[in-house]
Amino acid sequence: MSGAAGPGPGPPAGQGRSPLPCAPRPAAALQLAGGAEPARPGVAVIDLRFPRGAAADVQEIVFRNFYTAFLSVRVQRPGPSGSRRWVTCLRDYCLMPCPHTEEGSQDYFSLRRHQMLCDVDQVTAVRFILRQPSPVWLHFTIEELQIFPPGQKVSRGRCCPSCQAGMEVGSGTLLCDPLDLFQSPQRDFPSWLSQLTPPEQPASLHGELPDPEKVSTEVQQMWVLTEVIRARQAAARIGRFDVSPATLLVGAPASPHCWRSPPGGGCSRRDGVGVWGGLSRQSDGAVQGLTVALLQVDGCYDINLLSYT
Amino acid sequence: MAAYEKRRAAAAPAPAAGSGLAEPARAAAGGLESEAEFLLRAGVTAMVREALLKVLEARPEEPVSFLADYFERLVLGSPGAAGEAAAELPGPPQRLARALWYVRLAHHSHRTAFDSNAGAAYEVLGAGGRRRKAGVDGRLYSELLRRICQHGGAPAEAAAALLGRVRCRDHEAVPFDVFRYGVLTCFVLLEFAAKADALFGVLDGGSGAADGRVCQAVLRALEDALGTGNFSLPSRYLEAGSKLGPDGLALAMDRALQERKLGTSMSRDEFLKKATALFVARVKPIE
Repeated sequence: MSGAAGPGPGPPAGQGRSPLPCAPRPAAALQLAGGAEPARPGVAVIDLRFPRGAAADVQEIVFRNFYTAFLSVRVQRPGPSGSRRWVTCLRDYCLMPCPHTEEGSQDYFSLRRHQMLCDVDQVTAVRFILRQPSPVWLHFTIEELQIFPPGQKVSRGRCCPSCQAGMEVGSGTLLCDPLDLFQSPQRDFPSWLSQLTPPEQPASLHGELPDPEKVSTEVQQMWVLTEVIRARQAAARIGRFDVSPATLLVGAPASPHCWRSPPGGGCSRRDGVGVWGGLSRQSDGAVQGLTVALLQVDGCYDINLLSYT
Repeated sequence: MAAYEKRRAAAAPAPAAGSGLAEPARAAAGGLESEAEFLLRAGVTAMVREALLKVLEARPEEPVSFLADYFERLVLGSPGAAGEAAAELPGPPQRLARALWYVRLAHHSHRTAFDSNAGAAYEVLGAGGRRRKAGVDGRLYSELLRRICQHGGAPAEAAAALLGRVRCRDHEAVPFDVFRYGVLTCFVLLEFAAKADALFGVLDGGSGAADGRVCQAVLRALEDALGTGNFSLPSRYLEAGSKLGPDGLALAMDRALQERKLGTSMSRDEFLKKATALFVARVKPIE
């Protein structure tokens, strides 16, 4: 049974949730070793050890199934006499209700402390025993294995994106708490929310500060006024075209009514499209005696209409 | 008197021509509907109703003088009143004054009333005459805006800057939307300047000059809350509310006071100038 899985790959994306800060990842390579016979025995084992023999408390184990039917988990804990011994904390946990069919074959699962048979504190190693009795599936394993220590609330929102209502295990307990699905990880808050002032008042406020309530009232009203004006756009453009020596603007005026020919020159308007190729005398007098060099007119317009100062 | 007699004859029983004492009695007895009809015929009902509506819209502090003003303008403006060409369409100064009166009737926050008044002002300003073509041109529009800003409390530079943004060239024809936008912006600037003035009154605590650091901190907080970028996110309102709340502002002011040792005082004019500059910078220019 081949199939070495590398050390924990990145967490599943799952419904757009942001990747969570991981627990101390087991740095040891995952080894998937099964029976020696080439005939598929239907049993596989994955061993996890924590680096440098460190012991950790386990809050939650999250993984993604790949055609594993039953899962047993054993943990190595310090025994009463000081030596370490293996304890079964999960026995024949059913991942696929019917091993021959696809149901549950690629689901995400989350195992919590309270589902374990024993206490999972000070764990030095974890062993996953995978069983797949059906001959239909050639390979089976579990992927994206992650172990979370206690105190990380963010992991609660990630369990089983596929099962919204929770899954029933044989013993009748729910695998996933539906409410957990809606807790958003704390990272997504906008930055200003995290800058909210702490509830206790700073004791060292200057004595001669002006009254913050009144200041706040006035400033907020000023803000509103500015927002009102900023949001309000001039719905109708005035249809002004300025011609500079380098640019050319030929177009139709936006408001055909009340059209006036400028005193300095310009064109009278043809019905339909006005060819405004002339100039308006700039009020600052910057442009004097400008000739429109690059005027392209369609053949149907009378070029005599154009005049310039 | 003859006209009065004539109307009396139209009523059913023609009373004997006589003292006015008998007439009210007669009128009360047999001519109740004649009074209502009389009012209707004379157009008094409509006129009084219009006047009342205007008073309700404008809510002036002195209704009597407001009504007197209103009726005077009504008399001046009605075509058959004076019968002279001079009274038909008074020259630009009078029209400007009338348009100014119109736009001042309702506060800019009463949007429908303000819009209808702006429409009336636009018509008055743009009414054609014998020698004049119809329509509002840039010159009249700029003049009106200048007068609006003149009577308010806004500093001159801010008013000039704002006018620079929303003005139209003298020869350009001003459509109604642009007109309304310009007028609204001017009024909002005036209110903004009034609010900034009140804010300075709070900041200086009664004395004439406020601590420069505190003023700078408050203005900086306002500018920060205004920010740049898209304004369609509703979260921006929450954000501004949290930044401009009393807690946030108190902290900002406190921090400012602790940061720098020496504080120069800021005068009212300077504060107004800075505040209105913030406002004018966010007005969209007309193009």
